[in-house]
Amino acid sequence: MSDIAIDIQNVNKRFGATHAVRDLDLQVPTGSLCGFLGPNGAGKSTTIRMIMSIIYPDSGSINVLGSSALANKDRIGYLPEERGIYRKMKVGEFLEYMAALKGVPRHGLKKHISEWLEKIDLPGVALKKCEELSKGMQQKVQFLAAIIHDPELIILDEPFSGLDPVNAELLNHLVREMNDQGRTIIFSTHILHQAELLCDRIFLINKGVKLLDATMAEIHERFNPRTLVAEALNGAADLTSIDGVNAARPLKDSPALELELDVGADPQGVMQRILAAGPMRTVALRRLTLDEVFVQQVKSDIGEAAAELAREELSHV
Amino acid sequence: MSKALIVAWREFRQTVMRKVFLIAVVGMPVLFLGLMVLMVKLMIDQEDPPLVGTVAIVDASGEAADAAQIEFDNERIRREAERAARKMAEDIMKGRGSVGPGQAMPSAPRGDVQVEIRPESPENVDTLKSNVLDGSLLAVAVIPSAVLEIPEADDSDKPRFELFVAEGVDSDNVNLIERRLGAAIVRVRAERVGLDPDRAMVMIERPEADTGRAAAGAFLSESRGTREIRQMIPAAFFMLIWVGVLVSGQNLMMSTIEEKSNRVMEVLLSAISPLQLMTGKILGFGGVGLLIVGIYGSVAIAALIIFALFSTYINLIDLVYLGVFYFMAYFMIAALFAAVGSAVTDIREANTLVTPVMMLLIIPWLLWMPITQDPNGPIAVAFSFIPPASPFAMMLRLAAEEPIPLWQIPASIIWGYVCVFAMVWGAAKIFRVGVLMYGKPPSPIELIKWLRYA
Repeated sequence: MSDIAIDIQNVNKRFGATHAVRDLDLQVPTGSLCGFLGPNGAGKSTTIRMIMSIIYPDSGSINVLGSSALANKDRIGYLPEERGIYRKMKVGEFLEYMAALKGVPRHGLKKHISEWLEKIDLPGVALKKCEELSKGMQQKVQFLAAIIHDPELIILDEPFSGLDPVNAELLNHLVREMNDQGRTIIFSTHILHQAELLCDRIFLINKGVKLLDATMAEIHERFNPRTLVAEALNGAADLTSIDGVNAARPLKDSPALELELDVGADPQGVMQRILAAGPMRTVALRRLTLDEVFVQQVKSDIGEAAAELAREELSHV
Repeated sequence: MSKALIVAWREFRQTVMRKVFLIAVVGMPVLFLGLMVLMVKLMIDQEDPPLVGTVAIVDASGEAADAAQIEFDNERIRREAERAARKMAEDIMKGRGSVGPGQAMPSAPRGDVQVEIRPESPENVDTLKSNVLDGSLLAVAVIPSAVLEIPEADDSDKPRFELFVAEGVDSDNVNLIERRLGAAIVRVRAERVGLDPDRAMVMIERPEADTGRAAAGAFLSESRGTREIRQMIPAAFFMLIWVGVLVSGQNLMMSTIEEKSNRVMEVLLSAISPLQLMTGKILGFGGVGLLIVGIYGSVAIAALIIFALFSTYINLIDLVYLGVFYFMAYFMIAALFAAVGSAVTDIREANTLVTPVMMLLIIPWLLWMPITQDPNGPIAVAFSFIPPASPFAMMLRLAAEEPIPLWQIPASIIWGYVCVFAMVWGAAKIFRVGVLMYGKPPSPIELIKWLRYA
């Protein structure tokens, strides 16, 4: 098996005057769990559709599982953003139909489907018509239709949108489980903290251009904010006088302070000095959130105002 | 290919298992047949109104009354009715060309006939008419002497006789009185020139011809079937194809629109290619259409077989042509409906695009009369090669009596399927662009532009 599940080289796609995807290079390692992030209109769905050979790039090459998605459709599970269902069809029949289209043999299929339905908390719905299910239930059935053939590569376009927290957690769990079994998973999302929790690799894209392509560890390393979060046990404490601390700001909705370090200051040394200064509830090196990474990246790409707008778009989802 | 077949099977199953389909395709003919049976039963059970009473014949010579006496004889009427029924049955069974008994043959009665003929003199006409008005007389016929003369062949204003019939007499019985009195007058005329009236009646019956029409160096017998029934065969084949194509084509379009509006299209395209999806849908709904053609066609064929008329009216090769041209017509129309279905998101948007397709489907109807009247005329030949009218035109021509030049059959089939290939190819291109296109529906011109994409 190749180390690279998806290899995108210099891909471009235009729709009339809109340059939807621009000179995109992307490698998805086999067995990874990748988040594909970006605001609306960033080019995520277009890229995913090109990966799936539903539409074709104007230039560049896309290699999926060693050839093209067209040749490997049965090895790929895909949940599109615009997901639909045959409303009048029974759930079991719909899943059987999708499985048959994905080349799953009929033998044992009913049992397989019923096991999966139990796993996603939908036991006994196989004989119900799809339209009889709630929207959340339908979404779970759609997810099941995408993975019913046990694919080795799973592509999920906005899988969490519209799911309530309980079902989002269930999906989270399933995604993680499938990744633990060795499946390569790539999912696009607006919801950055979801990606932060799940992914071991992030692709960030805005206006058709890739801004970031790194593992979570690399991101944490690369976007070290050199900021500490500290909370004194006995309430307010003057931490600005500690050597290496440049400024202190109260954190929103928290009694803790955010301490900005001097240029060149050693965070570990400053932390030891803070602990020595008095009893502390928390002293930690703050991690930059993906939200902040996104703003930083977009800012450097298209300017601060546009970056703020893009971030707003994300946080409103 | 197997994935296309999976799609085809689902579409077929989902369509034919629907209650609406069962009601429309199976229920309607059953209902229609049931109504027919009921009507026939009611007609059989119905007590036909008897014709009982006295008919006064006002005729100075008295000859017409004597002749009417014979024509209204109970036993004679019964014999003639039996003879007419026997002849009609024989004609149908033998598939013989028939124009029925001679024109002078009086109509057969439905009910009991008990008519008394009473000769009357012309001066009593007014009294007799009042008797008819008060119902004491069934009818009075005033026959001028000129009517009993043999008219000149070129006399355009032939003399007529008057008939006054009592209130409440069934119109079939009025007809019977008219025809029987007419026959009585013919009888008088025959006697006046010294002919046996019964022989004269038989004499004027037109003999039937066993005609052979020259075709490809031989004579093709026309006596295989009665002309009336034979003319219905191309009509039936045409209707079978048309109904099958229209119903299945529209179902194909509706199913494509449904998949688009349900947003299930992209889910499907992750498993199969647009071409496989379209092929599967076309095959599935082709099966639906074939089922419709099969149901309706087999009912008609079963009826012909029951009456041992199948080989008289239908050539087996015609059934092969029916299959060949059904699929040709279906693939052409289905390609158009698939393209339209893929381009729009709901049925209301489809109207502007469906109209041109429906107009194409009306063309064969406009061609019906010119083609059946002249199956080898320039219109018939030209439209045998112009899609999508060509399969309809060819079916009308092939099932018609007049043979068509042999070369035109393979030429039309080959050219037709070349056109099918081109149309399906074009539809596949539009389908591929259309299925993922949402928003404002394209105009027919834009649809053609899509052919250049992808």
